[in-house]
Amino acid sequence: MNKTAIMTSTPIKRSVRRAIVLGCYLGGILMAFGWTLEQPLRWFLVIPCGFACILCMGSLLMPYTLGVSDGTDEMLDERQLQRRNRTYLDAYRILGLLVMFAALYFYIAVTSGKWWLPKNEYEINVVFWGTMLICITLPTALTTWSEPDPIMEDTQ
Amino acid sequence: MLYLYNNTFMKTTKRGDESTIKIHNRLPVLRAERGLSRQELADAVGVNFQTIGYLERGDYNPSLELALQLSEFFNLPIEAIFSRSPFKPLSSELYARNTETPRTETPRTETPRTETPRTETPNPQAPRTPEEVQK
Repeated sequence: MNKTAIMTSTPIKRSVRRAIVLGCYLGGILMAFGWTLEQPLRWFLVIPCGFACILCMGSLLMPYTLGVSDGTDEMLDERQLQRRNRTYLDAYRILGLLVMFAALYFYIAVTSGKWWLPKNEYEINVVFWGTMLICITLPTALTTWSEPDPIMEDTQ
Repeated sequence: MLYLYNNTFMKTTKRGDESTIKIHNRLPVLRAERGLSRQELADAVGVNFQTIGYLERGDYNPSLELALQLSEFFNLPIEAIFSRSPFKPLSSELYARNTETPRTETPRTETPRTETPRTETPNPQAPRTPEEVQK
């Protein structure tokens, strides 16, 4: 496969890519917060934030639309492979730490019975969908966040 | 102990493509000389054009394979393209080479002067004006 044929879409500036990453996670957090508000105010926060979160998550799930080094080995050249492997390793470490602390927290919370635990449907949904969001998007989000500004093709 | 280990580790290893060692290159000059775009060079060596850009900018150090590919493509030795120390401008290097080469011209020989040396002190008995000369 021709490795130079990938990333056909115009690479996006790093500031825009970072805004997409922030939009995904902040949108998710604000949407979860919005559910706790009263009825008229709830939809003003939940609908736009949920929409932003889903849009940004969609972009992160299709990293080639952002011009980011992400994909299978056959699609990437050596620099892109290095970047992808590095960010995937970082994502693995971060997720490993999160899982370790979550397990520790829930162990203490369940055994002691003093700490907070998700009880109602809303709280369980927040924990479940939050975990899903992080697991699905974190590796690509790290790549999208850390990839340097693109170099535009010259016309020589 | 941990500090020493980390310090040594950071100095001798690469973090992704953020190498601790800066490799300088002449890719922009070579590309411009041949009238190639980044995309054309990238196609020739089988990488993404962004990678060529990052190479030129010094943000990425190539693997040996890529360096050899570029060397073969430009038909130049690797050390003419990549270096650990900054390159001098090609023009100045060429000019310096021309001036450093030994000259083949015949060396100048100093011919003895036949003119009489000028004396600073005037001769008091010598005529000063044309009237005095006529007298």
